[in-house]
Amino acid sequence: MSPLPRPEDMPKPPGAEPAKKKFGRMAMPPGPDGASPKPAPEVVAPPTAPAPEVSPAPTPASDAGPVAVDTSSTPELDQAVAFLLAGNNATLKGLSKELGISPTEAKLLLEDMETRGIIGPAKPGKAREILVTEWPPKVATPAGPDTSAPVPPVAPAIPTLSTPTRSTPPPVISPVTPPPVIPPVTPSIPPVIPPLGTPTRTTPAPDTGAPAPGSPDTGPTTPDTTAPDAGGATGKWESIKSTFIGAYERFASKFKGEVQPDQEKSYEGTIGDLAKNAATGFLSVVASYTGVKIVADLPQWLYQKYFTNPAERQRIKEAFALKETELGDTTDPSAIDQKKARLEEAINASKFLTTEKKAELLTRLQDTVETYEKEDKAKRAERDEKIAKLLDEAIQTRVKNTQVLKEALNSALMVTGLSAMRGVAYGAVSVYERHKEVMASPERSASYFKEMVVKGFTETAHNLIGGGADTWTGKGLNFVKGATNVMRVAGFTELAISEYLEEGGPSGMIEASLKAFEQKGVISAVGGNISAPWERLGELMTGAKDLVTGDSAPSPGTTTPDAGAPVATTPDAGAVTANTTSPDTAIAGGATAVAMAETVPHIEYPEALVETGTVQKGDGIIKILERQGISSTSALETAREAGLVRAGGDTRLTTEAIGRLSILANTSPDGDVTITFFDTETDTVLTIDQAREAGFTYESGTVPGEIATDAEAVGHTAETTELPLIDSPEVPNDLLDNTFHLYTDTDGNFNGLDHGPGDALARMVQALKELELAGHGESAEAKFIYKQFLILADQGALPEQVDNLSPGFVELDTVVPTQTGEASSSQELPQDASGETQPLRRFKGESGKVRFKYDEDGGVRDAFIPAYTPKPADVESALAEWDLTRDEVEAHFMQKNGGRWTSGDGTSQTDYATSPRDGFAGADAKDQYREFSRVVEKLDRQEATLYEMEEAGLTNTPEYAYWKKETAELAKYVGTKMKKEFQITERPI
Amino acid sequence: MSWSRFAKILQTRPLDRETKLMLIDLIAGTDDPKIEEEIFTFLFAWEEAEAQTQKQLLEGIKKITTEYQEAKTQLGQTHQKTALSIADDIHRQKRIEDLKASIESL
Repeated sequence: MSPLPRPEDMPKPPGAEPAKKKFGRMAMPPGPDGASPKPAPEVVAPPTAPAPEVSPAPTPASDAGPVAVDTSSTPELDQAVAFLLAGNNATLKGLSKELGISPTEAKLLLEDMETRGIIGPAKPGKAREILVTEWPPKVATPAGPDTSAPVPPVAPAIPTLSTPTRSTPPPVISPVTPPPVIPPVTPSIPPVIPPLGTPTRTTPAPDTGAPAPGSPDTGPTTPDTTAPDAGGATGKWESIKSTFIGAYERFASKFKGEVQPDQEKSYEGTIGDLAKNAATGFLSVVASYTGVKIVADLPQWLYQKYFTNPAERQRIKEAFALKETELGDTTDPSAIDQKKARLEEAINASKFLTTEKKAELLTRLQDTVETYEKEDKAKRAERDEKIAKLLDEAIQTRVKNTQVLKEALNSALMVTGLSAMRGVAYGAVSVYERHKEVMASPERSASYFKEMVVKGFTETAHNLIGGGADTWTGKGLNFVKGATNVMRVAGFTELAISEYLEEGGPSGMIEASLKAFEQKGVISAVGGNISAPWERLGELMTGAKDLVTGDSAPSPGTTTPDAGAPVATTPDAGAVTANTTSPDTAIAGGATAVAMAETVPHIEYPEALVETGTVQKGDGIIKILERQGISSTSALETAREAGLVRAGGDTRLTTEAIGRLSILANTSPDGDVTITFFDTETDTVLTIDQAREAGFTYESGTVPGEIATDAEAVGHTAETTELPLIDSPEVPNDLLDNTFHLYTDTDGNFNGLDHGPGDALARMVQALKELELAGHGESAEAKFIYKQFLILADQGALPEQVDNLSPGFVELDTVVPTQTGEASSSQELPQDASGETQPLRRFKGESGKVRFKYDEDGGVRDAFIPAYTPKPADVESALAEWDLTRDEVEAHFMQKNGGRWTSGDGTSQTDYATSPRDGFAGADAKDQYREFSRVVEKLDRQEATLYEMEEAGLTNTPEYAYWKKETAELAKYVGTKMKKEFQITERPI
Repeated sequence: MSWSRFAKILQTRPLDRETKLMLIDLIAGTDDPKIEEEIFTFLFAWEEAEAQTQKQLLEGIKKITTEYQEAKTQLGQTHQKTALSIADDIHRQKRIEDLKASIESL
C-alpha cells in the first residue's frame, strides 16, 4: 500500500480554492435575504499556503514539518524578541505599541516568530507561549513542545476564506477541503508515522545500521538523548546514568511505536551508544541469520496494535491545530476579539443608548462570543477526535496488513526451508535498491557502474574505517554499521553457499527440503528447518572460538572412525564419516551411506529395511528382525542358523548399538534369509563376530549389570515367590514308563514323589527331560521335581549338576555322577557309563568359570564367562599388565571428551532412556572408560582361565582349543584398542 | 501482468527490505505456476487491502471535514446574525435619536 495519503493527494471538494496569501477583510456571508453582506470589520487573515496534494508515492523527504529555530534575525525581530523576553506577552497590541508598527505589521511579525519557533501557536484565551530563553539561542533548540514532537500535521478541511483586498467585494465563503497532510509511513519496523520534514534515509535503515535495543532492524541508529547541557552534568556517573535512562526511554518509545523526535538526527554519540549499537547490531545479525527476527517484532506490533500510544493521538490533534493556523483557518482569536472590541467600542461610544441598553447589548455580545467560541471549540475537538480515530484505524489496519504479509512470508520461508535462499536474494535486492538510489540521484558524477558497484562497496568500506566521523565514538558507530552489514551479508552468504554445496543449487535445496518433509514428516521437518540455522550458528561460534583459542579438539558432532573396528570385507564399502549433527545433513549422510551400501555388488540393502536405530530395552535380534517383516518363526529359525540364538541365552545389542547398528535381513532368491549387521556410522557391513568385537552385541548373561527383559523379570519373580505347586491336569504325574510318580494332596498341591528304582537324582533328571520334551518344561510338575532335586543336591549332590539343571533346560543327556568331588581347579572330563568322554560344558577355575555351548554334532559352538562384576583390584591388575593405571585411563577418556566425565545431566549417554538417532548420542567418557576397562579385564580373566585349563590338563580338549581361539581374538582386539588409545603396541608384561 | 504488478509493488510499497527479500525468495523458489499464482494472489490481495484502507481513510476524512465545515458555517451564520442584530440595535437607536433631533429641530 502507499503510505497514508499526503495532503496534496487529498481530494478537494468542488469549488475549492487555495487560500490566497493576502491580508484583507474577512468575508461575510450573504445575509438571509441574499443581500450583499455589509462590509465587515477589518480582519487580518493569516497568510495561507496552497493546499498540498496527497500523492501515492512516498516521498518523505519532501514533506514540510517542524523546523528548528531560525536564528537569522532583523533588528525589528530582535527588538520584538527582547520585548517578549522581558516578560511581556506576545500580543498584537503590545508589539505594535512597543515597536511602533501597525497591527498588520505586528501580525506579520508574530507569524514570523511563530514560524521561526520563537513563540508557540495562538490558543484561545491564552497568551502565546514563548519558546526561547535567550536570543539568539546558543544551540538549536526545538521550537517548543509542540514542534519538538514532530507529527503529521493533518490539515482538516478548512474553509478557505478568500480574503481579497479591501477593494474587492467579499466573496462567498465556500467550504474548501484542503487535503490533510498525512505523511507516509516509514517502511521500517515498527511502523510509525515519521515527522514531516524528517529526512528519512533513502537506504533502508533496518539492514544498514545497528538499531535500537530490543528492536533489531527497526530504524536508524538512535542517538544519545543526553542533552547538550548534560555533558556538563555533575559527574561521570550522572552522565552514564542519563545515557542509559535516555536509551531506555528511546527503547520504550520505539517499542510503543511513538514517533521519534527530530533531534535524533543531531546526536553526538557516546561510548554507551557505541556499545549499545554494537550489541544490538550483533543481535540483529543473529536474528536475521536464524530467521527469528519476528520474535522481536511481534511484541512490538502487538503493543502498538492493542495499546496505541495516546501521545500519538495528542500529537495528531496538535498537528491539526498547527496546520489550521498555517493554512489560515478561522477562529483566529484575535479576529474575534477585534470584532468584539469594535462592537463594544461602538456600544460604549453610542450617545443614543441608555445605560441599561448598553449593558444589555454588551451582555448579549459577550454571550454570543462565548457561545460561538465554545461551540466552535467543541466542533473542532469533535472533528479532531474523529479524524484521529480514523487515522488510528487506518494505521492499525495498515500495520496489521503489512505485518500479516510479512509474517506469512516469513513462516512460509521457514517452513519450506528456503530461508537460506534469502542470502542469495539479499544481494539482488541490495543491487536493486542501489540502482534505485543511483537513478534517483539528480546528479551522477560518475558512470553508472561506478555508482552502482564501486561506491556501494566503498560506502561500507568507508564506514568500516570510521565513516569520516570526527569523534571516536562516531567512528565506532559507523564501524558498527558497516560491520553489521558485512556480517549479515557474510552470514547469509555462508548459509546459502553451504546449503548450495550440500544440496546443489536452489532446485537442489527445494528438493532436499521436500525430501526432508517426506522423510521426517511435517512437524519434524519444520522443527529441523527452524533449528538448522541455530545449530549452524553454534558450529560457527565453536569454530571461531577454536580458531581464537587455538584448540584443536574435534568440533562437536565430528566423529572419527574407530580404527580398531573391523572393516567390512565387502568391496566398495568404504568408511564414510558423518561430520555434522544437524538433522538434515544427517539425513543426507545417511542417504549417502545407503547409496554406498547399495553399490555393493552382491548384497542388496533395500532402503526400507534400514532401521532408524531405535532399540528398546533388552531387545534381541528376533524382535528387530520381526520389525523388518520377518515372521517370528522365520526370524527365530534364521537367528538360530546365524548363531544368534541358543538355548539358555541369545545375542543382544549393547548400548553402543543404539543409533548406530542396523540389523538387516536379506532374503535370497531361493528363500533363505541372511542376517547381517550394518554399522551406519562407518557404513560397513559386519559379521556377527565383528559386531561382537566392536562392542555392538553381547551374549546374554555375560555383561555385568545386564538389564533383564520383561519376560525374564516376570519369570524371575515367578520363581522367587513361594507359590504352591498345584497339579496341572494336562501334565501326567506318572513318568518314565510309569515308574516315576508325583503325588498331591486333596487340594492338588504336590507333596511327594517316587523316583522309582535307580539313582534319585538321575531319575529326576530323566523325568525332567521327559517333561521338557513333551513341552511341559515350565509346568508345576517340572518345578516340583526340580525343587526336590535341589533339596537332594544340597544334601550331597555335585554342585555342577545343580547348575546345569533348570526347568526347561533341554540338554540333559548326561548321567550325573553321584560322587562328590572337592572343588579344585582341576577337573576331569565327565564320562558316561560307557567311558566315552563327554563334553566339558563348563570349567571352573580360580580365576573364573567358563561355559561351553555345543551344536547338534557335539562340536563346541560357543564359550563364555558367565556374568560377573569385576573388582577394582582386578581391573587395576589387568591394566597394570599394559603399564597403565585406572587414573591414567580415566584421565585419557575425560580429556578425549572435552573434560567432561558424563554427558551433562549426570546420566550416561548410553542409557536406554535416550534414544533418538538424530542426535547421534555417543558414549561419554564414563562409558568409554567402563567399556575399555571391562574388555581389558575380561582378556586378563580369559587368559587366566585358559592357563588354568592348561594346568588342569585340558589342552587336548576341543573346549580348550575353542577357548584359546576366543582368547586370541580378544587379545587381538584389546591390542588394537591399546594401540589406538594409548599408542601401546606391545604388552610390557 | 502479474510480474509487472509485482515489480511495482516492490518499487512503490513501503515494505522493508526483509519483506521484499522474502517475497523474492518465495517467488524464485517455486517452479510450479500454480503456487506462483497463489503467491501473487495473496500478495495482490494484500495490496488491494492496503489501497482499500487508504481509500476508506480519505473518504472518512473528507466526510468528517465536510460535516465540520457545514456545522461551522451554520454556527457562523447563527452568530453573525446575533452580532448583526446588536449592530442593528445600535443603528436603530442612532436612527431614533436622529429622528428625535430632526423632530425637535422642526
